[in-house]
Amino acid sequence: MKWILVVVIAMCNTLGDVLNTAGMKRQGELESLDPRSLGRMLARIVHNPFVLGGLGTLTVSFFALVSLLSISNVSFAVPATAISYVLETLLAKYILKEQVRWRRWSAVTLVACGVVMLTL
Amino acid sequence: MSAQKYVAALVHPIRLVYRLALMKTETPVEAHKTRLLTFLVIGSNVVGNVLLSHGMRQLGKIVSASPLDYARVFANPWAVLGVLILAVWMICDLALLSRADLSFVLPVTASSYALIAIAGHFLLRERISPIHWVGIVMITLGVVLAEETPARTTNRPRELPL
Repeated sequence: MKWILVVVIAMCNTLGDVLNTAGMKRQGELESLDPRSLGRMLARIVHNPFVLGGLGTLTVSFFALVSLLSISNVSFAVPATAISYVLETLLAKYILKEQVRWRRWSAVTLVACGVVMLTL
Repeated sequence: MSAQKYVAALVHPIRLVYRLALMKTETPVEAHKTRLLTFLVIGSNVVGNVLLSHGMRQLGKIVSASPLDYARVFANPWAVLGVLILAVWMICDLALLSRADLSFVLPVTASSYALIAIAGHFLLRERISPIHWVGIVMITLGVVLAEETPARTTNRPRELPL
């Protein structure tokens, strides 16, 4: 049961972030931070299936994490975090077509290891 | 706390962040907007989490998988404020993702983990073990490395993958 939850958290996290990024990129850049632009951005998100799907999967991931934490301790959530970082970067490179070179790979690896250490 | 003060305490920090954002967006350089959004994402994540954590500690341990038990969170003003700021964080995060790569946002905003640990140490008197310090240093190095890459490497037009 614990490991199923870890897999669900990692998958939903990754899928959610990738969907959000794809959706927000399709919607276009936020031009400025004034209330009108932000309002317009939020109004478009409501009709953006990618972002709605992304937020939905992130919600599933959140509740999976809450139930995982209620049946085991925090360190059990570690693999989920680490896997998400690597998986998200892979998908960013191959699906979102972002340029991930050695700098970003080392950055993500360092950050993933660092976050794991913080939860130990 | 009276109801009026309660509302004022909730609204004030949001207005502060907002004014700060408006002031800075007048700079002509586009890169500054991305940078400002990055700071907002990190800042709101840290403040929201520290407040929520403080509020949860006052409530005591909740051992339940039922969402209803977590509704008790809304009885504590610190926790409510934390949740509100985390909502702001989500919006800022989406705004940042509209301008920057996921593979950039991911490592750079991870500095919030390091900052939450440090804030927890000074504000909530949590202990930072040697292994935690190693983690904080590693995250910081990762953030520095990622910040040297361009924030966006994909095309701006609408013909995008997916």
